[in-house]
Amino acid sequence: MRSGSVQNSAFQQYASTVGATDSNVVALPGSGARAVLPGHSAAEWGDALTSRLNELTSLPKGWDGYAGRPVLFTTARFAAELLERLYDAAVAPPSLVPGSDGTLQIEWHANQYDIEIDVLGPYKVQASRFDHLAGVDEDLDLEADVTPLAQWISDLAADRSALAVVA
Amino acid sequence: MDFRSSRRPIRIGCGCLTLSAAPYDEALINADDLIIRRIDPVQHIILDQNRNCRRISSKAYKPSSGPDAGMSVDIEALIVAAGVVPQAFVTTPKFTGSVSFAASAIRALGLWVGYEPIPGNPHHGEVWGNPQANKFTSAQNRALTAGAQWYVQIPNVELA
Repeated sequence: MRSGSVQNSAFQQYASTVGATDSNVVALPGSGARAVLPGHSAAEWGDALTSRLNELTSLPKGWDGYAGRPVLFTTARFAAELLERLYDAAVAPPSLVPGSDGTLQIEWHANQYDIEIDVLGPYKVQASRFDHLAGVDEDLDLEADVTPLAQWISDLAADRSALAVVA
Repeated sequence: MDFRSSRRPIRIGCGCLTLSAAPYDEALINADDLIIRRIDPVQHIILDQNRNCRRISSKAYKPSSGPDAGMSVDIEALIVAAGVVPQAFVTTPKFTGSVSFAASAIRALGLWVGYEPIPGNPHHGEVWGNPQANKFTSAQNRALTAGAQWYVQIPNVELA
């Protein structure tokens, strides 16, 4: 792994140009007081994911004990853009897992859903979702239209407590 | 001899250079031979809030996307035959955890497992999809995730 690369990597410089800068701190009208909204700010997502993507694009060759390579910059950049589109303040940042071949997988395991978005390259995505409560599997092959994923992320924040009782 | 396929890796010279043939299933890998898959203790581990645990990501069990690429593994029988302790071999030169599958379990999923020696690892093998080498179905991936057994355990991490 390159030393001292966190602040100066090409990905870090790119990442600073994307991602919302919204904060979850808002001013209350009339009082001048400020309040912190519940949820996850875009800045929280941005900081966590930028750091992680920087790490993944800097992985040493053989990181997996075989011939693993770092996540490709073009793949990481596309993933960052995808995550920017999928951002939802009610959802925690996802886990990012590298493949041995420069790909990466975005995943959430929460609210009785398993969502795995395998980014094989720019505009080449294989996504799956398993609903533990309904026992339903869904698989998608996506290129440019990632609209279905936005609904999946929205479902992660939904109140499923009634369904959980029935299940 | 039961040849499932006549396509095999070809060794040239001292054995340090190998030309790999197309994906195939190796007849000399017996049904109960253990196939080892290394797991990085940082990169392959995710938080599963549904189960309130840290566990291995399914990404660890997906093949590479290159043509004829598969999922890298180590063949335990080859390591043992070379007089090396397998658990020491798969934690060198860097520590990784690892899981194992019986070859029969891999084949029962419709996958192939064969030799694929590479520079620095003469005991390297591949698990390939069939008919498309670099593609496992979702069902195959989930079955691998569910069927893995610890070989070198990572503390405080669940298998699946």
